[in-house]
Amino acid sequence: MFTNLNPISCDVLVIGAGLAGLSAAAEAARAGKKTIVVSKNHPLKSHSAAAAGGINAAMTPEDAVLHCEETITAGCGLCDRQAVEILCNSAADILGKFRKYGTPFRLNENGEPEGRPFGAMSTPRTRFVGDYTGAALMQTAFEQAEKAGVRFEYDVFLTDLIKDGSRIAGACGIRFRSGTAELFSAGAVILATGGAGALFAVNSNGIGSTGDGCAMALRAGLPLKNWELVQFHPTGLYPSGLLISEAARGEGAVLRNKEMEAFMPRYHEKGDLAPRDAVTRAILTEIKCGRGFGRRGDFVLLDCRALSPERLTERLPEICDLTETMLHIHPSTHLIPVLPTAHYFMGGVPTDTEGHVLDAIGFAVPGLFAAGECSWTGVHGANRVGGNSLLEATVFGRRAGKAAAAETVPASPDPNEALRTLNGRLEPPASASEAEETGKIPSPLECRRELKEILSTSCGAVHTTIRHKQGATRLSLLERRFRKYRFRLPPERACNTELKDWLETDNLLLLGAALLTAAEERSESAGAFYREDQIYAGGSLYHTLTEYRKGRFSAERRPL
Amino acid sequence: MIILRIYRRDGHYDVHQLDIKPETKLLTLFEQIRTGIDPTFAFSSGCRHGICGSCAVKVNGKPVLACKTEIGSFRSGVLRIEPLNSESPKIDLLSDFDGFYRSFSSFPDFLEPNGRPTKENFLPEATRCIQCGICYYSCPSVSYDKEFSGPAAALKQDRFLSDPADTITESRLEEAVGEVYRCVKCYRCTEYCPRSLDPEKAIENIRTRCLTRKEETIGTFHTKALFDSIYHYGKINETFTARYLFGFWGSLPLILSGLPFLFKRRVRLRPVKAANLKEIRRLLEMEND
Ligand SMILES: Cc1cc2nc3c(=O)[nH]c(=O)nc-3n(C[C@H](O)[C@H](O)[C@H](O)COP(=O)(O)OP(=O)(O)OC[C@H]3O[C@@H](n4cnc5c(N)ncnc54)[C@H](O)[C@@H]3O)c2cc1C
Ligand code: SF4
Ligand code: SF4
Ligand code: FES
Repeated sequence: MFTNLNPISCDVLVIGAGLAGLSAAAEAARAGKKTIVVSKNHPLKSHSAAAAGGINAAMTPEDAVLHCEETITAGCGLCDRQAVEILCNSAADILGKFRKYGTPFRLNENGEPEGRPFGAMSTPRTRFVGDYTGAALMQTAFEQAEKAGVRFEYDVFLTDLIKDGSRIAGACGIRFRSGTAELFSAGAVILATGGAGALFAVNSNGIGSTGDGCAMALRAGLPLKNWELVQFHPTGLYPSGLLISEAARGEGAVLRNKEMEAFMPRYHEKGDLAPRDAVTRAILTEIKCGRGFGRRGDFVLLDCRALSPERLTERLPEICDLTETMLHIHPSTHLIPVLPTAHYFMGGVPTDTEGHVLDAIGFAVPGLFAAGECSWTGVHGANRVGGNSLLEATVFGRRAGKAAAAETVPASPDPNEALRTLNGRLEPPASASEAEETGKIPSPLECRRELKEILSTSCGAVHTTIRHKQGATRLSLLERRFRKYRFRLPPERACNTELKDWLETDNLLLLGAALLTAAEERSESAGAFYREDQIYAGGSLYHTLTEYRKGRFSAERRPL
Repeated sequence: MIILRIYRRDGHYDVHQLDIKPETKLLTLFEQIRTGIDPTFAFSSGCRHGICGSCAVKVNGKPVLACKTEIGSFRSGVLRIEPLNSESPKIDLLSDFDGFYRSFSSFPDFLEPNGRPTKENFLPEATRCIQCGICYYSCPSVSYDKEFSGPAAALKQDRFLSDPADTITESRLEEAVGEVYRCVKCYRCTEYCPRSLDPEKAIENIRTRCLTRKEETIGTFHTKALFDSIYHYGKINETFTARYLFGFWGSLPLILSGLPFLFKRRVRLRPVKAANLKEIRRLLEMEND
C-alpha cells in the first residue's frame, strides 16, 4: 500500500501524449498556462505514431462540403452534423500548420499535398507521408509542444480522476520507474488516452491501447456514449490482426477469395473502397460461405500485385516491411492473408464541440475535457471514415486545449482522498471471499487473454443477444477470479510490471462489461454494429449511454 | 531446443529451455513468459511490429528489436538477453532511456520555418526513425563522451539542416561543429539501425556542411591540416599537423608527449616525402573536383 503521494500541480493536465494530447497541450501552453502532459510511455511511442494511411483534408471549400456529406453518409445517420462541419472545415488550416512546421507530406506537381483515395470517399483527399503519416505528424506535434513549453512526464500510469467537490481537479497514478505514487492537481484536466483495441484477441492496436481514460471516466461516475460501436478494419494481417492500411486498397490492391475472385464489386458499388463495415461484412460472409483460404478457411487474400514494385516501396514501405518480417513474403509477388481486425472505437466519453465532457444529463462536467479516440465528438457516427480520426485528434484536441486553458480554476484536491482512491484500487473488494472456489487464479495477462477471447466471440463484428448473455456470464466469472490475484511484488516496487498489467486488465474488464451492456442495448444494426438477430429491419436511430454506478452497469437510449 | 538466459532485476540470469518454433518472435516469447510463468518479468513493447521502437534489447550483445527478431535467427542456440542500455540501473529488460531522449534537446529540435512551405517533395530519413535508441546505446563515442549527442540526434539535426524551409542553418551549424567531430566513424549506428537508416551518413553530411562554412573550427582545421599534410608529404606528418593546428608556440607542450614517440622512431622530426607524391596529389586534386 502507498503511504504518501508526491504532489505536482499545474494549470492544465493532459492525460495522454498521442496526437490529441499533444495538440491540446501545445494549445494550452501557448495560451500561457502551465501545462503538463502525462503519458504511460514516451510521447513518441503513443499509438498515434502507428497510424499509417493518412489524414483527410479537403483543400477547397467545395471539397470540404463533399467531405462533410460523405462522412455523414458513412456514419449511417449517427453523426453530429455540427461537429462534422467543424472537422471538415478546419482540415485545410490544420494541414497548412503541419506543413509549415515541417511535416513532409507527399506533394503533387503543383506543390500541394497529394491525396490518396480512401474508403467511402469520392475524391482522393487523404494526405500522407509514405505510409507512416502518424509518426510524421507525431514528430511535428511533439516538437511544437516542446517548443511551446509543455512539460512532459512520461512513464507515469494514471489510475483515477480526483475531484474537488463536483469539479475534476486532477488525477493520481504511479510513476512506473520509481514506483512512487503521484498526485497531479490541475485547474483543468484533458483526457486523451486513446482507444481500447486491447479488448479483442485480433486487433490492430498497440499493446497500450487499454482504454484507461474511458475506464477512469466510468469510475468517476461519467457515462460512455455509443461504446458498442467498434470498427473492425477489413484487412488485418493474418493471424495477429496487425494493420494492413486501407492505403493498400487506395493504391489499387484488391481482395480475393478462395476462387481468386475479386469479390468486393459483388457487395458494393464502390468495390474494394466501400466503407469499412461493408468490406468487413463482405469478408466475413465469404468466410462463412466457405470461400475463405487456409486449412480452417478463416482468411481471404489481399492482392497488391497490380502495383509496381517501385510504387509499393515508395508509397507503402511499411506494408512491405510488415509482411516481410512477419510472414517472409513480399506483396509484389505474394498475396497477403488478411482477416477483419478490431480497429477503432467510435464511442467514448461524450463531449461537445469545445471538448467539454458531458454527464448523463448532458451538462458539462466542470474541469474535465476530452479529445481523440477516447472521446465521442459525434464525427464518426456509426462508422468512421479512414483518415478522419487523425484529423479529429488534431482539430478537437486543439479546441479542447483552448477551452481548457480558458477555463482553469485553481484547484486543491484532497491528497488523502486521492491516496484512499489509489489504495482502494489495489484492495480486493469485500465480496470476493477467500473460500469461494472459482478455479485457478490467472495472472493479469492470462486474465487479459481470456477476456479478449470472451469479447471476440461474444461481442465481435456480428452481434446476437444470446452471445452477449453468454459473454456477460463468462466475464463475471473471470472477474471473480481476477479479483483474487495476489501480487508477488509490493506495489511500490520500481518498474512494477505486474501491477501495471493488473491495473490495465482491471480497466479492460470494466470496459468489456460496459461494451456488453451497451451492445445489448442497441437492438438494431447501425453502421459498423451489425446484429444478426435483428428484429426490425431498417432500424431506428439513437445513441446509447452506458454508466457504471455502485458496481452495476446500465445502458440507456438517447434520441439524436 | 533453444536456451534463453534472460537478465533479471537482481543481476542473475533466468534460464529457460524451450522447444519452440524458430520463427517465433522474441517479443512473443517474452509475452508468454510474463503471461504464463512470471508476471513480474519486466520488458517494454508497444506496436508489435517494429514501428514504435519500444522493445529494443541486446541478444548476445547485439542490439535488436524484440518484435522483429526471430529466435532462430541466431547462430548460437543459447541466447543471452539483456537490456539495451548496460550502463543505467536495469530492471529485467528495462533500462533507462532518459539520456537518449535528452540527446535530442542538444539542438533546436524543431523547424524554424520561413513561412512558405516548400513546393518540392522532401522526405527526410529522420521521419522514419522510431527513436528505439539502438544506435545511441551501441555508439562507442556516446559511452565515453557524455557531451556527444549521438547518431539519432545527428540524423534529426541533418533533417532540419537539409530542409529548404529552415531558416536557422547558421546557428545549427555552430552547435553542430562541437558535436559531429566526436563521432569516430565506426558505422555501428548504421549497421544496427532496425529501420535501415544511415545516421553515420547524416554525420558525414553535417561535417561537409561545416567545411563549407567560412568560420574555421577545430574540425575543419583538423581536416584541412590532414589534407595539406598529405598534399605536401604524401602522408600524415604529426609535426606538421600539430604546428598547423596549434601554431608553433601552441604545439610546444605537445613535444613532451611526442618525445617517447620520437625515441621509438614513430615520428620523425624532418618530414619524409612519399615516393609517389605526384600520384597522390593527382588523386587529391581529382577528389577535390
Ligand atoms: C494501426 C492503425 C492505423 C491507423 N491509421 C490511421 C490512419 O491512417 N488515419 C487515421 O486518421 N487514423 C488512423 N488510425 C486511428 C488513429 O491512429 C487513432 O485513432 C489516433 O491515433 C488516436 O489518437 P489519440 O491521441 O486519441 O490516442 P493515442 O495516440 O492512442 O494516445 C494515447 C496516449 O495516452 C496515454 N495513456 C493511455 N493510458 C494512460 C494512462 N493510464 N496513464 C497515462 N497515460 C496514458 C498513452 O501513453 C498515449 O500517449 C489508425 C489506428 C491504428 C490502430
Ligand atoms: S559511426 Fe559515429 S555516431 Fe555512429 S556509432 Fe560510430 S561513433 Fe557513434
Ligand atoms: S536512427 Fe535507427 S537505430 Fe537510431 S533511434 Fe532511429 S531507428 Fe533507432
Ligand atoms: S513493439 Fe514497437 S518496435 Fe517492437
